[in-house]
Amino acid sequence: MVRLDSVSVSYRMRGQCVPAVEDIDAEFPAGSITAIIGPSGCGKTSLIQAMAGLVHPCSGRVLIEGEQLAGVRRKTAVIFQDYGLLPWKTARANAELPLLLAGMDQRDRRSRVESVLEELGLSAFARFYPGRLSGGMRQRLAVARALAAEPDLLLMDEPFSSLDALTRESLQETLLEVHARHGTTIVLVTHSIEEAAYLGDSLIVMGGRNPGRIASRLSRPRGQVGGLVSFRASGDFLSLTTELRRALADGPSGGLSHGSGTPGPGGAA
Amino acid sequence: MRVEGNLGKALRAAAAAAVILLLWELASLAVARSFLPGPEAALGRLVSRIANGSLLPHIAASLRRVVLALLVAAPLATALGLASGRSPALDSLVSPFVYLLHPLPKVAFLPVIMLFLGLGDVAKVFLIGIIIFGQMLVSGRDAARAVPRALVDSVRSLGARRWAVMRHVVLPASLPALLSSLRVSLGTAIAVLFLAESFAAESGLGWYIVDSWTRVDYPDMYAAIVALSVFGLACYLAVDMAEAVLCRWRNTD
Ligand SMILES: Nc1ncnc2c1ncn2[C@@H]1O[C@H](COP(=O)(O)OP(=O)(O)OP(=O)(O)O)[C@@H](O)[C@H]1O
Ligand SMILES: [Mg+2]
Repeated sequence: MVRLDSVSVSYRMRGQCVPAVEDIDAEFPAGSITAIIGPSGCGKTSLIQAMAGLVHPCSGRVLIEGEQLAGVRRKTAVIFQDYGLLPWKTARANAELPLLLAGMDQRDRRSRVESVLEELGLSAFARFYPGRLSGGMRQRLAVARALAAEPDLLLMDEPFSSLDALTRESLQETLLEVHARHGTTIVLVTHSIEEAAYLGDSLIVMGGRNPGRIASRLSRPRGQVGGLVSFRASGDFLSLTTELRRALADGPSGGLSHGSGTPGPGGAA
Repeated sequence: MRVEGNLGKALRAAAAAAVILLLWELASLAVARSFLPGPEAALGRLVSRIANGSLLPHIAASLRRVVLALLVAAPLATALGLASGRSPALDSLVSPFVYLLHPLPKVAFLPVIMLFLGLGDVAKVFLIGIIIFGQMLVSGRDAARAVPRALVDSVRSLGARRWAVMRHVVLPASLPALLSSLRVSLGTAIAVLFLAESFAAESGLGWYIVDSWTRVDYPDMYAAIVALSVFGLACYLAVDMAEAVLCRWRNTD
């Protein structure tokens, strides 16, 4: 389980302190999928980076399995929108990188990555450089690399946002399959209301800017729908997206300090 | 596809060489003076000088100087350049010196270098070395600076520390820039090598050119000029080949 205990992140820019997010309290139960959605600049990436141990919160704590996070953690994998893969390494070498960095020897790396590439349908492309893979395959490879390290926490920052609609949906299915098989705790940042509603067991809506805060929390009615694919077509899904859209438009709940920053529902993909 | 591409490239280079030789021949016929012999005289002499072994020590001497300078300067410049591109603290220390020293024409310091380091190989290697060093330092630093932060973050999130980030991200990302600055600086280095060898030396292609000039043996002089040109071309090709092997990922599309 992951817990954020009034986490604030800020950046130093030319001697000035720019707050990115402030006072974030949240819980991410083991094995759950949480979607974080919010307007541009509200600090979603900053929050993910704090959870990944890439930036240190200026106050508050990130607790993973009850322990305070002090830096990058081996069992946490992060998938970014772009730039995640190294263009000078083949698909296989990219997927092996976390294992190489952990000091695993070549034979073990090979065999583990072989099965992960297989799982994501990339075996035939093991020797390809990322530049020769399609956008969808590249993100599939990013998922493969994340899984190679056998993470218990998977953080994703707009992982599918540069993909076309069909590829995106197929990757969403892939992600759900992976989740069902491995039971990894997933935190997913997205700009898409539909994606958040479809993938998230619980949803965090953020709002505001410098600092951003949690505006509201929603959760998906779970259990009453048979299959996830049918959920997309159900009335529950529709009412959830409507609710999300309204929450996004409302912005931060106690937002007295933000007169101008009313985020519009804008890019409802 | 690729083989055909290379073949086509070789054919075009051969055609260009033929055109150059033809123009040389025509010029030599038009000028009709002993100081511009035709290519057949120069190339014939080159072949016989290589065959009787008298030119080889000079080629070897020049090659040794360039390779030595390269072996010392390139790793140092790469290490310092990449490190200062990634560390603002180091960069603020290094950059002022680069800013002041880089534009200086290093070759003008040849006399000073020779006074300090003597007339032997050390001075020549040093001069060529600082030229390669300066060029690669600057482009290594700039390339390392330009590595996207997100790429570094993604590899850090996999557990890479500073050193691993250098090895897996910064170095490969900067390699194309480093190699093309190497190509440029090798061209400069060979020009400077000629100058450095042309006085205070008894070996090297530069010395051979000047020596045959004073001996008024023009075919010999042109033979050595051709040898030096081919030498420069070979260096260029060597860097190209290194690039094709080390940056294979770039020829994917
Ligand atoms: N490296 C940085 N240096 C300085 N300020 C930063 C940096 N990264 C982010 N910020 C600040 O933090 C705020 C939140 O940025 P962040 O990238 O976390 O937002 P985001 O919600 O991920 O936005 P987007 O949806 O556009 O990705 C921004 O308004 C910006 O001012
Ligand atoms: Mg972001």
